[in-house]
Amino acid sequence: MSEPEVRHTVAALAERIHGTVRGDGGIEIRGFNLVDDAGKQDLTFVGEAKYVKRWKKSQAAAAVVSEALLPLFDPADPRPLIAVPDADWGMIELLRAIELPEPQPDLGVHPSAVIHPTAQLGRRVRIGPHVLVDRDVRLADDVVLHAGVRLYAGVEVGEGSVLHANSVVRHRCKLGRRVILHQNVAIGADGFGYRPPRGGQGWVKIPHIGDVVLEDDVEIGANSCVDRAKFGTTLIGAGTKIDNLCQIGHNVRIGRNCSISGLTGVAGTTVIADNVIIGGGVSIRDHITIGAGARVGGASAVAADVPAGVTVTGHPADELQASLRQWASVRRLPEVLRRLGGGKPVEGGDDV
Amino acid sequence: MTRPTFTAAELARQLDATLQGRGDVVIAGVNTPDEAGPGDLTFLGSAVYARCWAQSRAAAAVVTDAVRTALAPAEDARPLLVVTDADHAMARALELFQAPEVLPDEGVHPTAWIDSRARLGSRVRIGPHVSVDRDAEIGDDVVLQAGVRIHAGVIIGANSILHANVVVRQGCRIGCRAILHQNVSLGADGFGYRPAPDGRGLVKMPHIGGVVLGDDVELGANTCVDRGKFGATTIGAGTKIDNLCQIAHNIRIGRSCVIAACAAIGGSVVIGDGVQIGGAVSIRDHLTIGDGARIAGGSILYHDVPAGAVWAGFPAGEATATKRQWVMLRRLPELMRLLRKSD
Repeated sequence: MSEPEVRHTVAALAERIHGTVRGDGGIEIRGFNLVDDAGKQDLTFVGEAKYVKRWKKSQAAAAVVSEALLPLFDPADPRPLIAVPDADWGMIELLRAIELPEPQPDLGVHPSAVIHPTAQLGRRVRIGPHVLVDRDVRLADDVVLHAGVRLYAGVEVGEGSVLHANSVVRHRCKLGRRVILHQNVAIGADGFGYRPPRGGQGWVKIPHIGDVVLEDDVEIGANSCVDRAKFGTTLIGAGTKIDNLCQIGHNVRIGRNCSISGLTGVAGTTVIADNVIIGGGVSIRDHITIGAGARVGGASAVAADVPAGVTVTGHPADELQASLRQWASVRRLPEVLRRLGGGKPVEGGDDV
Repeated sequence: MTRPTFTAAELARQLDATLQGRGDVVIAGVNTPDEAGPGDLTFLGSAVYARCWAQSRAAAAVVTDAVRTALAPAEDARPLLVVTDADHAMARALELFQAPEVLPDEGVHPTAWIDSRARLGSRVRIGPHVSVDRDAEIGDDVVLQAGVRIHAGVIIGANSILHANVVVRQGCRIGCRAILHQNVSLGADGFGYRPAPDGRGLVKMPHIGGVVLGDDVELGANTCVDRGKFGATTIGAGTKIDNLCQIAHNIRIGRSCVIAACAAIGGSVVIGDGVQIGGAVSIRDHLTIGDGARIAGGSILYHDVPAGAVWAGFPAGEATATKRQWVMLRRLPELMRLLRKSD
């Protein structure tokens, strides 16, 4: 974690997060860091009992701690503590409160950027070096395009959205307001669709004439891809967050406020409802439906519909309790087979 | 970017369809039954969609004969285009309504940088901020979208299109009519190291081979194909690879294969012709996948797959065997309970 340049007293920081100070509130804090890495002028965070011991050895000047843990801290230690109901939330609130603005391209258009004369730029846009904004693109106010972003013809980007370096948005795709694309994101490449030629061999490309719509407050992680629809729209609902290296296939429809962790792939035309939470490394097959509020365990392979509110896991994925029972049974299999074999060794087990 | 329009009668002719209803209705686009507007054509591929038709705002629909009989007749005057092969008709319709892609202007954009020792074919379209390094050969009608990087000695065949920010490292060769989507990485070093002589750390092994893509190869966005250690990593003509795939050093993939997204293939694997690989498949290094084999999505392969075989699972085996295992696995907790009772 890099330390932002801050200079605040412990008391001032405590006030920002409605915390109570135990000790000297006048001490000045210059940065934030993890308990083991913190320097002599850093503030750190202690949210679990096991970190109290590490706090004793830490060089940190002060800590944000969960109220419940206060009795565990040595009263003889003079370093000040900021007590809040939950140190994790306290940390998030503090980082939000003192967040320094991310370095951005200067206001206006960098001289090396290429802006087509038909493109419309809103007020206060920041367009970095080597950006391409092609014909008929519409950028709303306060849009930030970092170096090397490429917007193909007819793309629309809503107010306050930030596209990081080298992200590419293909023709006619639409991004809502406050969307964040991290670097190398690929929006609107053709969906993966081919057909065998009549009476021939090989594959003929099926045109993909649809688009991609990312609604407001969507965030897409580095190197993730969202393919354009064959026709119609590949849709990601407002507030949904997608991690790095994810693949969203053509005509997928994802609801609002979902969370999808890294290296997950969702195949074509699958429908994911609102508030679904999907772990990392998950594969989801095409043409299925994941109901609202469902949860999918990391590294699962989902091959069938998941009802609303249900948690599934496993490869192939099954309802959580069923999968846990299956795994427990598999672990017992060698022992059971030994018993069934009357004490004789049983063949097998070298398949992997 | 004006799109073509057609009357229902013209469309029926183009799609080999039998027209039922008015032929003079003008169609300006294609959409799903739910999203279609009053000028759109839609597809009712199965009886399930027949129900959507009454509520859809679409102007006309492509249906199979089976679906037509499921539709409420009479008062709905909207034209139906009745076909025998709905998939084929859909692909054909999409071709008709496809607006021509907006390409960089013919020639070289003033912000692109072309080394004086590079050779450019006729009618190339090279977009902003592209770089083409020494001794690269760019064939006729090739399109390089904004920010594409062509390193020294790369050869690209006629009519290929490379989308924005694709990087092709030195000496790689791309056939004719190839399509590389945005951010594709061709020719990064293979992942090869050996333990340092003092046993501490790893020493990088040089990768002096290249990458060779045959004609009509398509690579999806953010996919990586690593260069060979020596000799080339090769992808045969007509093979299509989806987004976010990893093709490691010295792999040899045959012709007309399809590999869906997020597949990862380890070094020196040999894949025959016409192989179909589902999404998120992992294949360990040095395996052989025979011609025409099909691997189900999510499979993890540790063994060679014979020609024509269908495999699935983690670890992957022959698909029917794997499916039996899955069924047994679901019943396993119950079996364990029974065994415990019988003790």
